[in-house]
Amino acid sequence: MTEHDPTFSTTADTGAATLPKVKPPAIKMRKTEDLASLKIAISLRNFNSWYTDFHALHDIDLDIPENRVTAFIGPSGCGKSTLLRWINRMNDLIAGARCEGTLDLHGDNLLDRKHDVVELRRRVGMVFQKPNPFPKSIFDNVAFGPRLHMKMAKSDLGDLVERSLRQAALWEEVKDRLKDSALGLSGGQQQRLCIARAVAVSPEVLLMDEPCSALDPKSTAAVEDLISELRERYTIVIVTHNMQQAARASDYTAFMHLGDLVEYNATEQIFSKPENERTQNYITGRFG
Amino acid sequence: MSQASAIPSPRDPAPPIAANVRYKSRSQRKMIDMGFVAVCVTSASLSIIILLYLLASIARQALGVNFETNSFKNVLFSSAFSLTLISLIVLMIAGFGLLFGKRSRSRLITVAVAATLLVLGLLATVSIVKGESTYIYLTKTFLTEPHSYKPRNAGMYPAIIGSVFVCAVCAATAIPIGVGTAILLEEFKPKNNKLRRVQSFVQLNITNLAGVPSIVYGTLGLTAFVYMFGLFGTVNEPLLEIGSSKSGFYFRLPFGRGVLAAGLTLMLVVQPIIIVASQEALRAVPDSLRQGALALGATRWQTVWNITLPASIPGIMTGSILAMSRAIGEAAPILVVSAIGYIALPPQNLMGKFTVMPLQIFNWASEAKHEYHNVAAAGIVVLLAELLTFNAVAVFVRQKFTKQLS
Amino acid sequence: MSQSPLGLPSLPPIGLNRSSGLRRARETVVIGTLICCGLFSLLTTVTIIVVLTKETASFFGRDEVTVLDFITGTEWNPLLGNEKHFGIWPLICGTMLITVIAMGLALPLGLITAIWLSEYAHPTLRAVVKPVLEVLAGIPTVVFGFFALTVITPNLKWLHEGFGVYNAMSAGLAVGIMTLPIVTSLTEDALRAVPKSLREASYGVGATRFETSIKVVVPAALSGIVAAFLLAIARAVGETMIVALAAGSTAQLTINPQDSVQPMTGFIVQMVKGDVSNFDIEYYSLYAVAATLFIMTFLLTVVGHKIRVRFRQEYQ
Repeated sequence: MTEHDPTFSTTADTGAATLPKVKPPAIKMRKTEDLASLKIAISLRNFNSWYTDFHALHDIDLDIPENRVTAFIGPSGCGKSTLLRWINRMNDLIAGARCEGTLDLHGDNLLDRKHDVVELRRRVGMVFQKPNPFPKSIFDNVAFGPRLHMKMAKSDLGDLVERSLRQAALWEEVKDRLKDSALGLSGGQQQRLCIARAVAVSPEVLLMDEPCSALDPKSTAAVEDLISELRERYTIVIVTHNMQQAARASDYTAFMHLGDLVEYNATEQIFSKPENERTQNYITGRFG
Repeated sequence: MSQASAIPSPRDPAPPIAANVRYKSRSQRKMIDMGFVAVCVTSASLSIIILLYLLASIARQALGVNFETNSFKNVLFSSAFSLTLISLIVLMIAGFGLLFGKRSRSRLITVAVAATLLVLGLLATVSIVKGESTYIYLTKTFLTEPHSYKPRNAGMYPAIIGSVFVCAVCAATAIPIGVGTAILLEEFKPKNNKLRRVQSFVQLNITNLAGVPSIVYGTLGLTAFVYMFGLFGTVNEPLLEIGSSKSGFYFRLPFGRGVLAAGLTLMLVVQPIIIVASQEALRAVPDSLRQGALALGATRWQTVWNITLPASIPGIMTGSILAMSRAIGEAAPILVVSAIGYIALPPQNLMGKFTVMPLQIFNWASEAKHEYHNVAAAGIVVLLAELLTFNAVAVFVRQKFTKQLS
Repeated sequence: MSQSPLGLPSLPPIGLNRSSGLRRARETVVIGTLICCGLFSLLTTVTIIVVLTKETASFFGRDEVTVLDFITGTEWNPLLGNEKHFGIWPLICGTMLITVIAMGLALPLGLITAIWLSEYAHPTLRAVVKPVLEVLAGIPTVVFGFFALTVITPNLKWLHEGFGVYNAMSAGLAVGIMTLPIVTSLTEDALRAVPKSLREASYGVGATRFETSIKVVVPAALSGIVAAFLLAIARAVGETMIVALAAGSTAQLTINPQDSVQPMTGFIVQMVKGDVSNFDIEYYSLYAVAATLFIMTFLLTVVGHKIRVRFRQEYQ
């Protein structure tokens, strides 16, 4: 332990046996039910992963509830993006990535080699950090997924595209220019287009890897509103390095550090009464 | 905000929108994916087989074994030869790995298997050659004799010397001009708008020159270097002559059908390649080095001469070596410029009559007497050996001299 | 000021440095030399155009041939004594026939191999194959010509009796094999230029590798692919040694690959091998054909460049 330096005061100064209560941030957080009472969408047990020889994730035990927003927070390099990308097996694209343990989606073991990755990625959609629309028209971007997976009449496809764009709160802005290139949209619009594209194949889960980090505050607010509406239909997991965003937008939060799952609880709990010292240090900005 | 009409719960097994929407068969999509991989593997194997057959037939003819086209013996020889070649390559790679890298069990096994296959293949090839060959055309005298009217005595010596001379002239002229142009285009980019348009025009021009067929360069060389636009008299009555055509030093205007004219023509052919390769080598030097030099008060040329050029020399050298290897293989422009059949002696001086390796091969292959095809095959073996040597040298230069720049 | 902080003697104020004038002079000389080098390439193009135009003009100035005859005539026999004809179409037809056969082999195969290399293949395999392709692209074309003459033609004759000793199919196949490494290499470069994020987006929505390659990557790289194809066609059109060895010297208008044809480059070779220093009309016809060849490859290169620049996809 470091020597007592009068410049800083540490928790040892208070002398209290338990950690003092942290002043709750001035952000309105959602009231949520107890985790045990909810239906679980994704569950991980003893989950470990490696990048060649580097042990990236250690013994993760996690239950992600259905139709709620779960946030992964933690400093850079803690493994939150890695964990997210295992849920839809995007890490299969990286040479040398492997994992062990249990990863279930509604009871289906996702790590089984025989499990169809293509179907998995339809059931579990992903929105990336930097918006990556295809260099095609807005309509073709949203219709890309349905055209791959389903056979339907043109009118039905148009309906599906409209509904997806409505769900992504983009329809009013683009309904007159569906044939225009998607690259002509602003950053926030492009990200909402990517959400519409992900939603168009009727997934059960939406994974979002720092969806607002490349957006300006106004677009960020729009996307966060969208997320809280979408949770009625989809199970949502966000990775974010912005703690205030996690506090605003999520129901449950998992704090990770150096590949460990340090604490996982309702967002309100994590941000007002964290049980672990590391969590508290991160939240109060002592490191990260 | 969002007015979602009744969207069914995501986990409904029923089709998402309407009754007439069906999911595509996933297994079918997977089969298409695998089918594509199968197509790729098939076409890759076919390409490799064709390449091996090409090499085998050249080796076969160079060794004097003349099978009819689709005899079983042909296939047998090609397989034996391919086996030898492949096991040799595998042996070399695994052997190097064993000597300089880690010794693993799998490497030892690979080396052992490759060595066995190599011996088997060699035995098979040699026995076929011994049994069927009428005469081996690839001999030492092949490299030291000139062409003769008896195919068995024909050799490549004048062509080899001619190639060396022509490529020396080509390299001496093409490399300075090419590298100079590359430096101008990469390091001295103008800020003036008008000049910038000139620069992009020059760049476009170089791209065009790269696409011009080499035989058009040949006709240009004919007019510009051989006849010199008729400005200095004709080839038979030159305007200016210094020295005698039998001695080592001889210069004339117009250049006539000599080594100098051919070298300059080849220089035109090879220019765009050298320029593009040098440009890439210069571009690979990180900008931070240049900025550092400029910040210390160096002029643009001083930066180039002291910092950028030394850092990009390995890349420029590699590009030049590869360009020269292309140049040695070019027959069309030389054909237009020299247009003479068989030469008995290597060129005496820069203006002398000459021939180059690919041209000699072409002449032999065009002969009516089919036995000359075997001689041509032997020539091709020499030419390919030269190609491989140049490429190996280029790779060696790249590996040895490329330093970490930042 | 006397001494700088490091104890070194101070420099005179800027502008009075005596050697700066010398330095500037040297700099100017060097830049002048470099500009001459740069202008050399312009000079080359100008000279090509001037030479070809001048000699072609001399060609058309002769009595035996008119521009109309050249452009519309369908017979080409410049060596036929009194009955000389100078219609260019048989030569163009020969070139086209061989190019079509060659590209029919090289373009699809090259595209498939490039897609496999960039999307499917293991990175070490790609690292091995790329240099091999560079080496294959550098093989002298006489080798392929020899191959066509001594291996492909006999095999074709064995397959079907109709193939002559010189035929277009054999030359076309050899030209195709020769251009295959170039097509593969350039197309693979174009495919690799597509950013990884687009592929991730496609996989994220549940596409198979084939669907991603065909529906996302290839359309995104299309301008580069088309430019690569045009460059390959230009190479095939300008190819000389293979056709000189294997295609023959009969200039005729035919689409039958079994026939012997003479492409433009083949005619130039034939003229040059003979004795052309007496500046007859045959000599000038050589330049006219070379001019046509130059125009064709020039157009192909320029169009390819324009396509690559104009339609280059902005990916972000």
